[in-house]
Amino acid sequence: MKPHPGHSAGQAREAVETVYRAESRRVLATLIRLLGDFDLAEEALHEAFAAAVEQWPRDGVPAKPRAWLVSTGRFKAVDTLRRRARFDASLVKIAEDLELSAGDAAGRERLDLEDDRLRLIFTCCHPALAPEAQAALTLREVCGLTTEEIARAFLTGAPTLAQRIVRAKRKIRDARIPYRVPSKEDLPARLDSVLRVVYLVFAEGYAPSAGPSLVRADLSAEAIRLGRLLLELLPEPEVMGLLALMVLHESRRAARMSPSGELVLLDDQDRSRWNRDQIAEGVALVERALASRRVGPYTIQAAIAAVHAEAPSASATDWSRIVTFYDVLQAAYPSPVVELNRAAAVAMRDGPAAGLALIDALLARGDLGDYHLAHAARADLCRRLGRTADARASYARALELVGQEPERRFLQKRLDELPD
Amino acid sequence: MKYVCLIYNKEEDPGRAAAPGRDVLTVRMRNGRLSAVEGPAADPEVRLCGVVLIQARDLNDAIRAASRMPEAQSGSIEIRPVEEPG
Repeated sequence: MKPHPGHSAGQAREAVETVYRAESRRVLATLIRLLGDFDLAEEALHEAFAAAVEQWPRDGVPAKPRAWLVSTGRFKAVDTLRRRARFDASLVKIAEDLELSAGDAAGRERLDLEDDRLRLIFTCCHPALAPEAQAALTLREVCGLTTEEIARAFLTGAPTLAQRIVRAKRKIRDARIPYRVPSKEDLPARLDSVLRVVYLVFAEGYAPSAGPSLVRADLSAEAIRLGRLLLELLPEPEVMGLLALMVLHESRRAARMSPSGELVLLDDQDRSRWNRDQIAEGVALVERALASRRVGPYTIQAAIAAVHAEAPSASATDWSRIVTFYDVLQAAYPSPVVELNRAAAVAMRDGPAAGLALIDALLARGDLGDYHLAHAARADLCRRLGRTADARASYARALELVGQEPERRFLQKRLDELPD
Repeated sequence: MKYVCLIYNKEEDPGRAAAPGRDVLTVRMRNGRLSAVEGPAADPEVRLCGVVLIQARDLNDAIRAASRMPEAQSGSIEIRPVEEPG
């Protein structure tokens, strides 16, 4: 490799950082496949980037940085194994096999790269791992978030989360969880947990559970990318449904926040700012998924989002259709949150009093007492009915429970705007 | 991110009080198995015998680096994040 005439050492260091951000997770996924071991692969990834920091400023940035990192990582792993083989003879054979496979694997590598990420997703979302460990592993190993970022997103301490990740990796190793995409028979069940994790990642990027920022576009974009990748591999209706749901939510991103960073409710959003390309894509996916006649919860939720997306305004929305979809959802996958959303749709169809009766019944049951949106929805309906004192009490309760800063400001504003 | 690794090993100075701290985690390697446990290295038999400042991508990357230190095999490595200004 000759030094690149146009590249200074500083530019090369910057290139390492850029490549790290863009490629490190893909390189890791491939190294895990090649080395068959999470820890060894992470060590190899680390050493490959350490070598890049040293060599790229001197020799220039390689034409194919990702391939360079994979092959460098592999050689470093062979070195590591040989070093350790001095104490453990069983490693000699592994190191030799690894060296032999280096040649013929090089050509296959490019084709396998995206598959490697899928393998990694299925491994990270393996049902043998605790659900919270699945999400944490996927976010760190597939999406490249740091332990600290994930800990903040899950409102937990970094040591707790780090410990969870270490244990999950040990479990993968001890239980010999295979690093591959599951067989056709196992796929539906395994897919469920993958979809749940992907949606969790999206939701964390779209409406983080806490913290100052309303949206983390990078996380949502990553989840959508994972959704597309899944759909490519597996054109299952629910994969379409999930992707549609994410894309339709995403289409409203620009309208969800005012220029000053305030939350704007769906009904009040400037619909000219909705992304029409994303809506077209989402609606087409929903139609394909519904046509399959194997409809799951993501597809129904996407169908509801599609009704909103195609309505010219809140008042001109087909609320009957939305209530019907919520009925289907509630019948097949009952949950108090679905009931709450249905109540809000009923309020739009039949008036605030009808919605309020449903929400009061729901709160009386005690299911959603700690859910700030239940109180916020109740407050809004009371406000529209002129029941100011009730509205004030419910906004106050919602404010006690809300975790996210822009939502808190929104509720405070609504509370302040109530007449005396 | 920067982390400080406090290296503990068996010495003649018992009775070291375990320092409290929310962001502390302790790494040990025993028979090729890595363990990372929340909290300080609370073993009263050990004492502080070294301090290393490392640069790592995140806490799990710091755990990986600490697990490679020879002292992790017999002693304990306590990891604490270093607050960076700004």
